[in-house]
Amino acid sequence: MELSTTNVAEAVQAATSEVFEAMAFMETMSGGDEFKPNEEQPVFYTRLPIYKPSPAMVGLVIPQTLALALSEAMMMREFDLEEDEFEIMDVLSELSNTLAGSLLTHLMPDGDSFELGLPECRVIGNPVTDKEWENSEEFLFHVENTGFYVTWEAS
Amino acid sequence: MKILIADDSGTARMFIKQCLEISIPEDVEFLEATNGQEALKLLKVGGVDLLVTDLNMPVLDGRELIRRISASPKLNGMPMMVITSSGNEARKQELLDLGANVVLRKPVNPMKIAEGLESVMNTQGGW
Repeated sequence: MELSTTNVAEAVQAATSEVFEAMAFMETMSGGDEFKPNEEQPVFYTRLPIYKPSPAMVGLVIPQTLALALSEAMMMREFDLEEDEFEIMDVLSELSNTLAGSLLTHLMPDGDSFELGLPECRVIGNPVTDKEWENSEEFLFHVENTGFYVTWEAS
Repeated sequence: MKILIADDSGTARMFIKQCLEISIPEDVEFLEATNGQEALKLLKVGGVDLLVTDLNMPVLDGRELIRRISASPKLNGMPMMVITSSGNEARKQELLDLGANVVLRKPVNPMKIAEGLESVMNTQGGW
């Protein structure tokens, strides 16, 4: 069975809202063009493959300042971008994993199962020129004044 | 009480540990494993009262871990709580059939964990 993609936007919004609130106590709003990730700040790009019911990829594009805030909120301690880069990536990987699961739960009927791969996270220096997710659909959200993308690519 | 948490994410292990600490009034000793194979090694040493495991792990995943525990004469009957992002009804029933006592979908919080612990106790008749 293939994923129904007709309501991906709704599912992404629901999943993003649920997961950010539950894990980091952050309220997300959709849109906010003025807050889009730009070339002034590197981003953490986390991607997670979906193997079943059909191949797809979920991604999270988070500017460094927001990644720091998320890590501190979720782990309840201070983080340093350089010294704690590995731990920040682990936080974002877990966030992506939970978001992907929530997204697919919203997309799939109850009777069908899905299978997720393992997340990978890396730093992208310029999210405007180095868009590794260029084949993906971007869903823009913002937390206060910082925008981020959830990306979706179905094969 | 000794609880083994199996999850490849350090973030998840910390999160779950915090929720368990809030939910359990007595002193708890926590063991941690980053995959199913490490978890099995720790379980075989003995003394673990509860396994809390993710599904999506490298080396040996949670589903296979549960299956091996249920099939082991020594480990069969181990109370098992699954906390996973892949928590729809089909997967949940599959895991319960394999031997898990309760399946919780991420994201979790102390209240969900407490309810899960109660379910484990009810199915096990206590620790």
